[in-house]
Amino acid sequence: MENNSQVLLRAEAICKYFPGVKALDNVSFTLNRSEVHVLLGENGAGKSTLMKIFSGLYMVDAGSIWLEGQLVNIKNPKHSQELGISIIYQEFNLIPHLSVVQNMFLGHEPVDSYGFIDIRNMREKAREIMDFLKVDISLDAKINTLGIAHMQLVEVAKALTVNSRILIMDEPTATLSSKEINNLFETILKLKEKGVSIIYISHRLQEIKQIGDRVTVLRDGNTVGTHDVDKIELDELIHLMVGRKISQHRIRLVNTAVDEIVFAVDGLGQKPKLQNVNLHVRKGEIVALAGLVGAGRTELMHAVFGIDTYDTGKVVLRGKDITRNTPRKAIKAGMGLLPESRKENGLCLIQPIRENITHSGLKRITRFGILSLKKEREFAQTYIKQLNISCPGMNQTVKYLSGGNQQKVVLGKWLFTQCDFLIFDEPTRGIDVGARNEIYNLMNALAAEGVGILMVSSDLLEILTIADRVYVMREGTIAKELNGSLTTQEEIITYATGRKIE
Amino acid sequence: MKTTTRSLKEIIAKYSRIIILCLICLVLSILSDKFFTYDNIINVLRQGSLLIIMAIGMTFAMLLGKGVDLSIGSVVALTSCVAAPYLTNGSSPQTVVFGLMLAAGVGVLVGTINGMLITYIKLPGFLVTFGMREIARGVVYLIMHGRIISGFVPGIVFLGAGQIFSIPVPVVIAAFLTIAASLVLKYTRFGREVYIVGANTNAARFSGIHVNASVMKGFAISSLCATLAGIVYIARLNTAEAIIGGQFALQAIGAVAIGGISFDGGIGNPFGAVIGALILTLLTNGMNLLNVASEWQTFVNGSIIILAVVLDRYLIKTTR
Ligand SMILES: Nc1ncnc2c1ncn2[C@@H]1O[C@H](COP(=O)(O)OP(=O)(O)OP(=O)(O)O)[C@@H](O)[C@H]1O
Ligand SMILES: [Mg+2]
Repeated sequence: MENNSQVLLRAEAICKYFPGVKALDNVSFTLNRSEVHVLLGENGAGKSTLMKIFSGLYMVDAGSIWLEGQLVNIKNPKHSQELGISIIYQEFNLIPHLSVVQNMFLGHEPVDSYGFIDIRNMREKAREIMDFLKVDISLDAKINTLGIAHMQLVEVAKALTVNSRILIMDEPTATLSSKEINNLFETILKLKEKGVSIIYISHRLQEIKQIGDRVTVLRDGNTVGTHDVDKIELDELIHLMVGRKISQHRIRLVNTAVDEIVFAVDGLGQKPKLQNVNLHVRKGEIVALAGLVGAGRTELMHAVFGIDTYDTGKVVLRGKDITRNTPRKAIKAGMGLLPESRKENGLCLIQPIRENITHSGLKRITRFGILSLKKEREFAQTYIKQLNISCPGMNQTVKYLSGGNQQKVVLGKWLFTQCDFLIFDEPTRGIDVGARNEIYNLMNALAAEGVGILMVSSDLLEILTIADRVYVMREGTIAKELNGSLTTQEEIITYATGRKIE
Repeated sequence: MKTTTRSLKEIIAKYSRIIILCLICLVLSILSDKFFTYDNIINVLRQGSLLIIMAIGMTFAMLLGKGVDLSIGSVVALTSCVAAPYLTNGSSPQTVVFGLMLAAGVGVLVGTINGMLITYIKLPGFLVTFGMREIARGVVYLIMHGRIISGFVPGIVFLGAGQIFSIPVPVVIAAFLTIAASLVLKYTRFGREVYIVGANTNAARFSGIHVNASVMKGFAISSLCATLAGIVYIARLNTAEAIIGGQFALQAIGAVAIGGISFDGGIGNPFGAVIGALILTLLTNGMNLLNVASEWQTFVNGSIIILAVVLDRYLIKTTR
């Protein structure tokens, strides 16, 4: 048994039920002083639920929590903060029309002796935190003008505005590229030195070895076990987590691309973000678009899909000019875009899974303007099964799914649309290792049917696993084209940053 | 994943409005022996039918999540007064049909303009329809010059005062409209798109839904329902004048609020609106039967609207 004075937080026999779901069933967990404790588990295993119990968002149905040996009953988020727990939720909680600095201090703005908000003090502190994180975002930028990676970094910064002894990070790196991740890890190590304990959740398993001290595996709402990171192999952890072996090797063994080009962008420019972008995707080909956060990848995707306008350039889909289209016409022409931000652009959170799946393919279940709900149910069932979406049923509101399962719904939605050309913007964001491989297999199968796929990804391993060709984007233009089966992580990073990295 | 059964609380949450409606009926029938008579029930339904028709239109506007439609009261006055000269005694059937088409055309036009300003110019729905409410009212005053038009052809009078199988025609119209609206919202592609736009406009756009068209159609339907209500209303009064309908928009908003239609869009259905309208009408009827002073009646109506919304929030929150 571990030395008791070392234990900071202990949760014993925690149970949490939702209508139709047993999210946590007798979970136990201990967090030591100044450690990075990784929490591992499949999508829907209960990780976020356990964290929301610590943060006071959910009340336990059974079980008890001790903080420094004292039994505590965490009543609400404010109480949790007072106990020194702060959390970065998996789903962002930023106010879109407020600025970065306003969001960072929301609800605990520093005040001067007259009781007014001390703006100078607030900005100074914010600046300090941003420097500490090595993040370069304007403090006055409105949240709704930021990309998703920057929103994530603002969430991290926000959590650091309060001094806490426990910091929970629920998938902070899901949208970040290697540069930001490295900075984040440096921050985590510095915090650890200061005596802060960190609970860290991620589906990027290579990160466990990089920063984890101990790791706890959850499965189906139960604790499977806790291990020292350097005493257990990754393969073994995966096995504990999903109950079977998962290959971590390249999945795309044959390139199914044919000569025919399905999608081409010619000289696209959009001031000030994009300059002279040229790229093409063949039928049956899987092309990855790599690059750092801020390189303009999502902006490019939004432009070609017709969400945003652009100044110059031509976009061609199956020989048809679709320059300056609307998304509606783009979809009609056979193109789909799985957006990076599932909450803002991908899903209707208040609607059931069934309805979300058919959003962009209503045509397929409509005859003479009338929907066939029977067909809709059948399709929903198919995709729930195919993507292994863990839910009590197809009528479950998407809001109540775990993050990874929400992402699977977005995937299902675009698979259902049956496009000839698909753009996937960070398709596996928040998806567990097992399901990830299933999705790569699906992409393989789509390509074999002749679908062209353009995948934006910040996960270099993912690119090496599945891409035939890789475009590396830097500062708004394509910096390099690489062969997906021959390239390496280092090579991609080199071109993404524009300099050699040792 | 393991599952547990649905809780009783959820079931109560789902049917809370029907339960409240029944409770009000129960209390009223205990307090007044005149309440639960055939004549009175028919009376309540007749009184409620106008509000139901308008609340269903309002449902379409609200589901889109672009704000309430404040213009419907003025649309009631404008469209009915535009049609009225063609509906008077002695008009030929063709003239009457022309008058009705004209009213419908004006109604659709007003709603479409509302929708266009909201989508293409990106103004808040509240502001646009508030402005339209004043504009339409101004126009109807200009048209009418204080005139009162009365004495309509029997066919029109039948719409307001007639009966089919001893059920008042307005009630039959309201019932048909309810069913039609429910079917449209549940089973047509347009209906589904209304919900998607209301639930998340961005996601609707990314899904290739023509957001602007949906919004314009939704507000056109809201306006068209107001037009229908206007015709039924002047038919019942057998008189048209410019001042009618001043409170209608707010009453309809009260009805949909009680009926659980979300002000953010995407949640609710026409049956909710009907129940909301019936609750408001029942309360008025009951308080009249009990000789409650009118000051207290408005007080109670207001409280019920707030209470309904609070109850909604509470029921949602307790399922966490
Ligand atoms: N508010 C809620 N209402 C109903 N069910 C919920 C709610 N929150 C979570 N669940 C369910 O509880 C289970 C655990 O969810 P949780 O979010 O904790 O998973 P997770 O381990 O964080 O998964 P992921 O890796 O996908 O983020 C899931 O099956 C989810 O559908
Ligand atoms: Mg989670």
